[in-house]
Amino acid sequence: MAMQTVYLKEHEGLVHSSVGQLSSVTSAPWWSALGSQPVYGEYCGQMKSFSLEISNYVDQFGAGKQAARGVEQLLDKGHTTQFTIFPGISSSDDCKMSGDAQNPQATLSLQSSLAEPHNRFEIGVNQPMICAKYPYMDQFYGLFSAYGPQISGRIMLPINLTSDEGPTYVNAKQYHGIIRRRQSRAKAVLENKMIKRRKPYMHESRHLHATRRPRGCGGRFLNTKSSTDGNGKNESEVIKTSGRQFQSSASQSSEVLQSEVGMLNSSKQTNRSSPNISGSEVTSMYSREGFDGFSVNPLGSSVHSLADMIGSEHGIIRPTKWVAAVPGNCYNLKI
Amino acid sequence: MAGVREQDQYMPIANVIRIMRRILPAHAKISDDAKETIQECVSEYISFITAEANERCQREQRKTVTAEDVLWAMEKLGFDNYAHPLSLYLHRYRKTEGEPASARRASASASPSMQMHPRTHPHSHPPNYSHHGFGMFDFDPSSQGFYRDDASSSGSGGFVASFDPYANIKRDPL
Repeated sequence: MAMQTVYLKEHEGLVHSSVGQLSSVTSAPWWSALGSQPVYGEYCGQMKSFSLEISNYVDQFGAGKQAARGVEQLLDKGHTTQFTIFPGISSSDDCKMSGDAQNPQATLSLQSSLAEPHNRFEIGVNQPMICAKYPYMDQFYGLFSAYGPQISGRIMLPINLTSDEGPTYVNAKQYHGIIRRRQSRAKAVLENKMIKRRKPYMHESRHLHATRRPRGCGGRFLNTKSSTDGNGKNESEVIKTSGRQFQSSASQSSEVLQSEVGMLNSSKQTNRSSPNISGSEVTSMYSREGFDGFSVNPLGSSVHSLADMIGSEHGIIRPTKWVAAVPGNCYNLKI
Repeated sequence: MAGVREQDQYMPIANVIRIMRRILPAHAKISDDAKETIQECVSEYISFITAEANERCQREQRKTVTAEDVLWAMEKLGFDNYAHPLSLYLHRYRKTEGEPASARRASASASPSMQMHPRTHPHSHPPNYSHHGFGMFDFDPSSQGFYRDDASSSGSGGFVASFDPYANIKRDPL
């Protein structure tokens, strides 16, 4: 226990001195590393902090690839800054977390840790600081060799500052792949290629056509050939797009929302490849959903209400025969 | 323009839902959030394995990603339980389909992977490669009559062809 306390004191002092040297953006991951200590009060947590410190030393001294893994982690942390949206706020949060880390310690160790960074800041010359750091490096190398067998097959990902959770451990084989994919996604975000919100439909003309089609009982399209699988697939896609369109608009009335739910159910029914539903099944479907406004209406009345809805939203309804129009649409699609 | 981006970013959701329904009972229902989550997971998984396979091709200075590269990538990433059945599946598939048909199907199954590459690493591929990819892509509609009328459906047809082996393999452990 005394050994751990001594290492913790020296570690905190060194981190304070390193913060003074590095820039604020680069030092953010180190503060988050300090912040992760209260979550892992065990010996393993301190080991991770020491390994991160070794990476920092290697980078500062300009030494060769004595610890290639540590250097790789440092490079990965350099890439992690791309994902940081608010570095300033993150730094302040990490300072608070480090403050919380000191609370569980004893009063005597707290005073000692406060005295330690003060002594470090008094040293103005860089060369004695470098000489003083060499013994710590030897000790950390010994500790680093003990790090591997404790967690077999798992590598800690560079901590994402925006996430509230602690460090995430992934399969060692997938580590480089995940880092590469993160870089690709960040690059795509920078080039504005990623889509944050999904569109309710892909093509405007298809969407308009679907909204103009007459619908029967339960929101299903009329004049649909149930025997053909291709028509079934097209119908399900069109219903799905129109359903999403209704979901995206928030200014719809409650009656339209109920019809939207009906359409979604009908689309699911179509996806399950059961195009024909008898009257009793329709009644049972409505009773399961608990519709009060929608009772079992005659076919003409429901068509009339749907026609009113379509007319109020999209203007004039075409009186053209749909059976004759379908081949024309096929020819247009071919062109 | 925006629609093309979404089509490039994610697998077609209708095909993903169809694959999900294959394993579920007939009366099961899938929420929209579940559909979108599976769509994102599937798209990310494909990009993850394809990027690993493409890295091997770049290291060996090759331009065509083969089925062996995909299987090697799955083994390297720790998906051993999938790579072994898939290698057996590929072996038997090439036996049953015969030599010329297997060559055609192998190129067709490889085309979605090649389509992924210009988006994952746009700077690492010359424009000739993307043109060749388009040429490979246009071959699919003639083999499938239903998707002849629709350009986007031909794209989904190609992806369905590449998805079938994975779904069949996934059934066997159960």
